[in-house]
Amino acid sequence: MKISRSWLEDYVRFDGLKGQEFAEVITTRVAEVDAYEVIAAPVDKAVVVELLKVEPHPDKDNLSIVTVSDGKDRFDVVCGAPNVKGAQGRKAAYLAPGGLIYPGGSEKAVEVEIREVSGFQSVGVLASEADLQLSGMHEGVLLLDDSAKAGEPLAKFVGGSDAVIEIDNKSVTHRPDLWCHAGFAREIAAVTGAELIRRVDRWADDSVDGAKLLAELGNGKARTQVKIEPGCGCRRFAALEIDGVSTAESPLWLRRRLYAVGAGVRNILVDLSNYVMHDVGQPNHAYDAEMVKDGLLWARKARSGEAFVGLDEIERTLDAEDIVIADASGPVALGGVIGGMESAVKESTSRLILESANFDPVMVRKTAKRYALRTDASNRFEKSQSAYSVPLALQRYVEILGQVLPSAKPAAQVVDTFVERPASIQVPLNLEFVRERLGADLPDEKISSILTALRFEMQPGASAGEFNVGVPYFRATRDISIAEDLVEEVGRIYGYENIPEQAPLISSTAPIIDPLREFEHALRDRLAANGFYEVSLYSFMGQEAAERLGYSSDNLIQLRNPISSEHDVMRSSLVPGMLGAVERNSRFFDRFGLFEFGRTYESKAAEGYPPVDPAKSPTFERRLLALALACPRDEEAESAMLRPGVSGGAGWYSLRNELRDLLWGTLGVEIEVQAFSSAPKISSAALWQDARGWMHPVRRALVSVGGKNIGVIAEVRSDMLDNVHSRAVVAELDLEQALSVRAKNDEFTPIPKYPDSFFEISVVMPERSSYSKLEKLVRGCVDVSLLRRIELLSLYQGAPLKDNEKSVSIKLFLGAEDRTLSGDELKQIQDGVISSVESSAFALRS
Amino acid sequence: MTKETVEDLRRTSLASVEAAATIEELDNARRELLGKKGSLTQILKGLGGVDPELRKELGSLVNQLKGELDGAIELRRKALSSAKLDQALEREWIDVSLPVHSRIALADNGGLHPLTRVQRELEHIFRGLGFTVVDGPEVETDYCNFEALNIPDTHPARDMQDTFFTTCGHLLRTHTSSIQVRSLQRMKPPLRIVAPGRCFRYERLDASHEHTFYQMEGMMIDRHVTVGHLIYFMRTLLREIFGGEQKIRLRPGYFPFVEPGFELDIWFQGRWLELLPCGLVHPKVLEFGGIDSSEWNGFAFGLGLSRLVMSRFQIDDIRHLQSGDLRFAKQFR
Repeated sequence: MKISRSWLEDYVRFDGLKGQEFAEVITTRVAEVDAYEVIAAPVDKAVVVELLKVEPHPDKDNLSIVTVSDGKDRFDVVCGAPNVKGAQGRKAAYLAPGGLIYPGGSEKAVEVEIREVSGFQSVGVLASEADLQLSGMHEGVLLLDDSAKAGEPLAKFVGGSDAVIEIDNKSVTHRPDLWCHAGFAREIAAVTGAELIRRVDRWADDSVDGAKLLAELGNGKARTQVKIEPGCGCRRFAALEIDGVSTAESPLWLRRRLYAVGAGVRNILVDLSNYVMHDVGQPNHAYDAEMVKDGLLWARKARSGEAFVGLDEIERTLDAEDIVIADASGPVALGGVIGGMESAVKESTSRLILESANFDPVMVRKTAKRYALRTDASNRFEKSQSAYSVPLALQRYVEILGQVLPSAKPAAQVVDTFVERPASIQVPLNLEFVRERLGADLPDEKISSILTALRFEMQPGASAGEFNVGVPYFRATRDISIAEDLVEEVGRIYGYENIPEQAPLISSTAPIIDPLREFEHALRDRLAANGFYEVSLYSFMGQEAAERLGYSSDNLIQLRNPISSEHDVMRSSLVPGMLGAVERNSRFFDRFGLFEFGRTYESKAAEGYPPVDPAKSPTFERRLLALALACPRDEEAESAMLRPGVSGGAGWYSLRNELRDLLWGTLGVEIEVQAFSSAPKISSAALWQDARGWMHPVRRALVSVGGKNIGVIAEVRSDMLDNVHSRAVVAELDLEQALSVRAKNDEFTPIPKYPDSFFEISVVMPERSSYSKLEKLVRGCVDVSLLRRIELLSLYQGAPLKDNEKSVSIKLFLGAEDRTLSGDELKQIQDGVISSVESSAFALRS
Repeated sequence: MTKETVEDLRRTSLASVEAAATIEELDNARRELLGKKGSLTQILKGLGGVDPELRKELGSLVNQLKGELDGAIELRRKALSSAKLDQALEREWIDVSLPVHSRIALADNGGLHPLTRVQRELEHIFRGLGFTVVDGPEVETDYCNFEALNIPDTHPARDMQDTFFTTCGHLLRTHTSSIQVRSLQRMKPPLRIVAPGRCFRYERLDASHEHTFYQMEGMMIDRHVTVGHLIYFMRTLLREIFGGEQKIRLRPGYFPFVEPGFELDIWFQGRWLELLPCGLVHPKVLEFGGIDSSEWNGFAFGLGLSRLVMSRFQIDDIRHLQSGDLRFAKQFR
């Protein structure tokens, strides 16, 4: 919404606020100003000239050579405007070289110069209204009547430049009174202490005086008949017949103001309706009286299925919850939203009915939403306009119309049906409460004077400092109802910058530390230190794409209004997003590590998890960590570097080791990894027990601690990534599950007093037998209290072993708490190991 | 030539596509059916000599069959190439349990997301001031996100925040303020909390608009909390973040869940930056949270984390934050 400074000055003088200061004051005291703009600046330099001679250009039909006089000198101007032809002797707006114009109302100003135009020298320009930013009119130069003298400043006749502020509408959502100039003027008066020049609210006075003013607007019995269906949402309806009207062009001053606030112009009858709304905030509507059948204006609920064609020429089928204004044959307006096309003012209109009414804000809002039809009227009504404002529009319309179109006269008395007068609101206020909430030592008088300036009525209460504060009608619809609301009124006008900061005296309790958050931060630091970069990806995924990756559609949370089909559901895993990030980054890098901490969202808790607790979260939200590692596809050399004898899986092992170190470092636990193909039976494995489509069939494993599944790690199938030449390995970890397996780790074991003993053995195993099987076998036949650890010494494949065999050499470290193991004991253990290897599927390598 | 001829061809051709065991066999089958001398092509050529009525009917049948075959071949090709990849992948078996201890080298040193860096800094500052860091759900109820914040369904303030809705009747929280009532219900006053987190608004993406962004909610409930206290905390916060006293401006701002409500702007690089909507908690919100508003009151604020990060690092496009782009991430160590 735009507010013009010169318009405000109809109501209040605030010369002390120069230029941007005006916008500053509005911002810091009233509402957010999005932009401040000076408009019609060229007017300040323009002068009136007389068109002494107008001659056609010898070659160009559309051009004229105009000799102008500014009272002192004469200049020739080449002009393309058709209305200078035959305008010899008239006065026009002129800008001399050096001035600025906005040609045809364009965004950017250009400097006026002495120019060669089609063989003639042109000095300065004859300006149109659009050139001067007075209006959108560019059909001809601005001609003035004869009262203007050559050489006089143009501003004397059309007003000087103006400043316009653009208010952020959201910042006045709660202020129906601020949707107009009168409202802002009232605020400025309160801030600056100036008196209001015009008090429109006296028309809203519901006392005898107000009724009298309204009654005096016109004489005689009205032909118009107003009916309000009880409960239809119309709370007041006033109508006034006006005779002797015509659809003349509005005077420049009025068009100028509408242009300044960004409204279009049509004719005086329509423009004035618009003007009045921007002036006093009360939406209103002019009907062609001839088109209102039987002179009946009947506010009622729409009949379901009733058709209505609005001013926007769109036919709508109405809903039973819409409010309509109907005549004897059907709807002529959608109440509080838009007028009807047929009954609208047109060129032939000579008598009109002016409506000013008040409607239920919720119903108007619903109707506007239903048809996606937000209008200036619906925007104002949905903010809860006061029904007491209804007469303001009638009064201003009649007053201004009488000035610009003297033939127009009210034909009868106003018909005013006020269904239910809203009760006035009194808010009990202790001034001490204001001081206490603000934390500022404001004297009583200051508080009272601020509230009084904002038109609150301070009625002294039972004891000193106690008041009953009467809320003015324009703030009483929703905005002000409790003492806290008044604290805000005082605080903002007083100026928040005047409130001293104040260190509170508060109980010094230690904040509660969330272990999950600490865990996340610890993981982050380790990952970053190990070369991984943190990314943050969207919470959405595409259902179709996720299905391709092997994610089921069960329990997905669908969006009712997704941004796109690639983002139509809430993610149930971080992996789809992470694969996208791998793809995008692979265009620039072939070796990198990424991680993301994020949530997944499903409608139901997964198997093994407690059911969703609505007190905590309406859906099943998990906090996960996803890791991705991309490395060159050719992995042989790198794998061998990790450990001689290893022929592949360099990236895979690296990511697994990352996970292992992360959890060891943060939780003090050792992870176990178990390949999927072995169909693990692990508790709460539901999340990852299905191999997903994106997973490499023989490079995927569950990650668990002490039998509890906490995550998954797998290489990504190459056909699941577009244009990625690297191998990508991805892991996903459930952070709450992981945290629940944190080691206690609070018991010290004495350092062994006796040295360890050891022996080595080499075992021949089938190529695809896992090392863990061997370790399990060995552990199973050695006394746990004696076995300190097992170390892998070497791996070997090749002659003389068979093709599908490998040799694994391990070293066992043994020791006892109370003695050095004897040679016999050691031999016995070694024999035990050898015999269990020999009785297994493996063989001892000799 | 009759309809049966086409029908026979359908049976045999679809069978031969299904029977193809390798990509090569599939290519051969395709050639035999649809190639220049393929059986289907032959039938099409043969149509020339057929009675016009029948020709029309047969022609459409053959074309239908051709479409069917194209689809079947494509399907089979996918299955075969996937199976082929399966075979290749099957040979890449590794021993997942092998105790390999070292790792391949990554090119860089790694780094944290700028949002994380700033968020953590703020968490530390607030912890020092006695605030507990809490969390709330991102898929929220209408109640916590709107209703209990004094924004009933019919309130025009609903339009201030374009909302993502789920089909199950919930919504994606539009602000971290949804944590307010959850905390009030769970904790006993006096309390001091901050809640950083992800929020969503239904917006088209461009350089300055994201549908996914971060805020940090803060709330303090105690006895006799004043606007002066709020200013004190906000100043302390900004001093810590920006290192030194900052020029700020407190101006009226409308949020139904605070009264009075403010916008706190900071003078940053030659202009006012809207950073901190805040205010004294509306008594209705306290009541929704089961707290006696005649005894307790407090302040709340919602810091625009994404916006703070953008200005702090002079990031020109908000979309970078959620891009997962390493060229972006690598700039933050």
